[in-house]
Amino acid sequence: MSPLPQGLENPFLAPLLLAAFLPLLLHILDRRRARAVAWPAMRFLVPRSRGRLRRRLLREALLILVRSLAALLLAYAVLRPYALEEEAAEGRGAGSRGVVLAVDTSYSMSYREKPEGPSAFEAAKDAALQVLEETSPGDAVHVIAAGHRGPAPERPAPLDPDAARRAVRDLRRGGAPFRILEALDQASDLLPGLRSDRREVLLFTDLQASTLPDGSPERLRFAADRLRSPGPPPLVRIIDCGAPSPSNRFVSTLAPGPLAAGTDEPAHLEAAAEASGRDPGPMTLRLLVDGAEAAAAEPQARGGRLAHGFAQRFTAGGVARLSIALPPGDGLPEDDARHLALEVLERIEVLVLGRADAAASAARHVDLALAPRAPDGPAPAVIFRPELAPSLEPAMLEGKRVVVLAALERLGDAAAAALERFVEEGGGLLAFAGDEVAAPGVAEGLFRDGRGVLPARLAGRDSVPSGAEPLHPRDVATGHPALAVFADPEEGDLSRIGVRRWTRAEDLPRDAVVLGRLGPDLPWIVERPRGRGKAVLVATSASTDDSDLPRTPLFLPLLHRLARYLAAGDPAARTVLVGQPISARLPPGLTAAEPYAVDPRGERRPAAVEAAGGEPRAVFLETLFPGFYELRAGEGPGAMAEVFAANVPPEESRLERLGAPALADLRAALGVEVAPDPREATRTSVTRSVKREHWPAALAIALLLLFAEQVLARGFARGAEAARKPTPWR
Amino acid sequence: MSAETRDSLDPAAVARLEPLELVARTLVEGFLKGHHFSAAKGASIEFAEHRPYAAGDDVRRVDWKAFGKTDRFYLKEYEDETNVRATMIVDASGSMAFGTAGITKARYAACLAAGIGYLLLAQRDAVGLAVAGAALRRYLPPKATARHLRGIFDALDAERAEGPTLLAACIHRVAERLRRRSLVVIVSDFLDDPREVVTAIAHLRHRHADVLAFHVLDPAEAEFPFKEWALFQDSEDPSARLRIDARQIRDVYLENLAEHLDVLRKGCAALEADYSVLTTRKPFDAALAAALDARSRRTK
Repeated sequence: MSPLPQGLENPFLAPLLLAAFLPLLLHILDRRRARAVAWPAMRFLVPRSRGRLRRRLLREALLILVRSLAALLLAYAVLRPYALEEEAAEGRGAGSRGVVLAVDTSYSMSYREKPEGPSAFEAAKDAALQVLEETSPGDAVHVIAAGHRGPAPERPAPLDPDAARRAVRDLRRGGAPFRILEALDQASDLLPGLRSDRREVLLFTDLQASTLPDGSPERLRFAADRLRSPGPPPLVRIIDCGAPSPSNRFVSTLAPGPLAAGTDEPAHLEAAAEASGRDPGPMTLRLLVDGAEAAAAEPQARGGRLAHGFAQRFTAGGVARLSIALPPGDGLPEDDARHLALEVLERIEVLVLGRADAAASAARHVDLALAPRAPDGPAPAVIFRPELAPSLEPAMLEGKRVVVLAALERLGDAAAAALERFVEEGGGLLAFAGDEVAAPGVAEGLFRDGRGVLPARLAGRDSVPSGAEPLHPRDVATGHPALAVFADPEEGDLSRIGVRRWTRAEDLPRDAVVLGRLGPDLPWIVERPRGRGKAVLVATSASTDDSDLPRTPLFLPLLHRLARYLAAGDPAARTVLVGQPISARLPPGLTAAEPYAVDPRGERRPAAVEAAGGEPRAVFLETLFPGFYELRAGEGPGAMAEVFAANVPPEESRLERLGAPALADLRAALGVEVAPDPREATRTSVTRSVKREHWPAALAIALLLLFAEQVLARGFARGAEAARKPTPWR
Repeated sequence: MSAETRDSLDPAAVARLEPLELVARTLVEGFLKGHHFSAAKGASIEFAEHRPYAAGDDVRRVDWKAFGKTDRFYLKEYEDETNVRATMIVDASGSMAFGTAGITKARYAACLAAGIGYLLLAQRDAVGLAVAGAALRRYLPPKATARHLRGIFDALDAERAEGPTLLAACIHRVAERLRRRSLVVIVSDFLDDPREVVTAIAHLRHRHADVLAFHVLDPAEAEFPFKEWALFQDSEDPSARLRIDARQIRDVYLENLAEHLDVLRKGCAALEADYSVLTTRKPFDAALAAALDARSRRTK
């Protein structure tokens, strides 16, 4: 056994090593605690000879040393030190083999070191096939595509070598990241089914840094225990199929702005690119709209990242296919573009709830602010299309993006549930808490102790005393996208609004955010996300009953920005990572149609139909390629065609390799052998790393030392007793 | 010895009595009662002459044989003989102030000296006192009167245990003052150079003195019961300190003490001086018996 430890199982207990100083500390404390004794016979306390005094001191020092060593070794044993040793392992020989082949199918495996050379994925498949060449007909094999989303199949039967070869050849890249410990867990599930004389687990991966995100000792120990149980531990090898020093440029971000994109004003788009393994250098980011280049930028790199904000104007509504693309030329082309399916609105349909009979009613104020026009005049040239209704019926929500709650006499359970579902699915709710909305019958149904859609409990109405100064909004979050227009008080100062009446907003849920206040404990504007949508509460009425806001020029931009913000819904609803499912609600007339998906290569693939919330939905699971997908159903007018985008997870583009310490931990905990080249996959291991624990030896030596300490202490005491002459007074 | 007698000689109980004369009487009476001794035993009274009876004379002293022959009253006159001239050297140095058994060594020494003095005077012996410390602090020459004995008691009561020990020098000073054959009783903890003390006792022997040495030890000094670190401070010199693990030094201490006692014991044996070690837990009767025994040998 190697006398020097190469690692510790419990490094967090290292402070226990200070226990070595305990005997010395106790010695010093004993000295300090010495009680004073007035003593007449001082002359007898001094040994007659210096040699004897020195011997006594040496004995004491020896005892302290032995105790310290024992304490040190006990603490050392608790740390569970170990050393790694090479041990002859079972390899080629008599008896049947049971082999689990786990191949990393994540997107980082697509990397090619040389354009004409194989990708890591192809090298892994070749290496796996070579391993299978070494098997015999009686051997049992499992093939795991590690890196696919979704649950692994339940304990499949082992394959014979021929079937295993076919399974390896059929392996395709998945969308999920590859994790070494998860692959070993899957292998552990399959090992009990292998009734073989020798069992092996072979992992084919590029050893990307993200393959071991949680390499904590406990997690590694858990994986090791699972591999060992039941039966003898298998031979575990990792075949390194990755390039030694990969470099990759990739688009890491393409995100829409927080406001709904419309045809009336440019939409904001955030784009960024990064480089893995080297400095990104100058790169041109090209914005493609529906396949055509619309803009380009060459931003400066900051902190290894290139970022640029595009302002893109759209001339027509619908789902725009946006891409940010880099010039091609590196080893992983799949991540050189990032895609976004962005819904561009020609009109924002708004349902305004409240009575419109009174000229100065809250609903009328909202209606006119959203779309100023004569009562029966034509629709103005603004994006908002408000529809007034005195009460809420679920059917009214069809096609709407935002509901404005200006006034409502009552709210039934069905209407409240429909409103909650509307927000969950990406709709926006803007509630003005005037007298009607704050009435208990409406407010309770909307809040439902935090489970409802409202961002706060409406706890009653308050007002300033007669003759007193009105309150003014303060602490307005002008950093919020909906309130950014008020960042410059010259452009519009919300603190000038005078508020005489308001509704107390209390019991804010944890995810609610206050965007403005009327006083220290008086929230005025509160936002809360709900599902894929959002709700905003304004604690005053939209009429002039509570404040002069509707009379001021600030009302229109405030209402427009809030409505536009709420109409955005979930901007990423149509954009997924490769391997994630896409789905769309089937229109009522197409429930019998067979939906299908058109993938980025233009191939038509069947989609499934699932019922979710009582509605049929078309679902497509195999989004294995980055690019745009179309979920379609039916033909001709009324047919469904929903556009989605799929992207490579950014972590698959970061190709930094797993560090040597992490690999050493793997070797130590699991006895894993790492083959640095896929061509060595067939070299049957003759040795393997075996962890030898040092703690039993340390514990044994510590106990021996404690025993020796007892013997020495008693021996010293006996020697002194024997040397003493009998006393005459006894 | 009865339990009552034993209690009367218990050092801790005796130490609580005041004054010292009462202590002495309690000790001696208890001792004599326990051992059935007679107070007059050993007294030597010799006839000197007859004198005519005078009014007020004790009729018990009338010589009736002479009255039968002469028909006149005559009293027999005796010459009192002081059998022994005893000098007690009591150590009153600072080390004698130490005590853990309910009594200090100094008080034990004073009680013992008072008892011996009382006992010797009861034998019509002359008793003197020398108080030893850094020098011979007090010297009362031997006399055989009760008044003198009370003076000795007062002196013992007045002395305070303090200062360093120069016992050997004090013994030499006493030896120089001895005029006749004497009995010298030394009560001390002998914390002086034992060889010098033996030399001083040899000086006493040279002056034809019989020596009776009582070595008084506190039980803690005899057993060294400490079991942890302690800061020992010299009773006679507070500046002398020693911080030490008592468990580690115990055997050294006991060895040194035993060697010290050995030198004294062997030295006294060679000089035919009586030497006894007493702890302050030990009742006084053994010491008194030893004193009586030494006195008897002296008068033979």
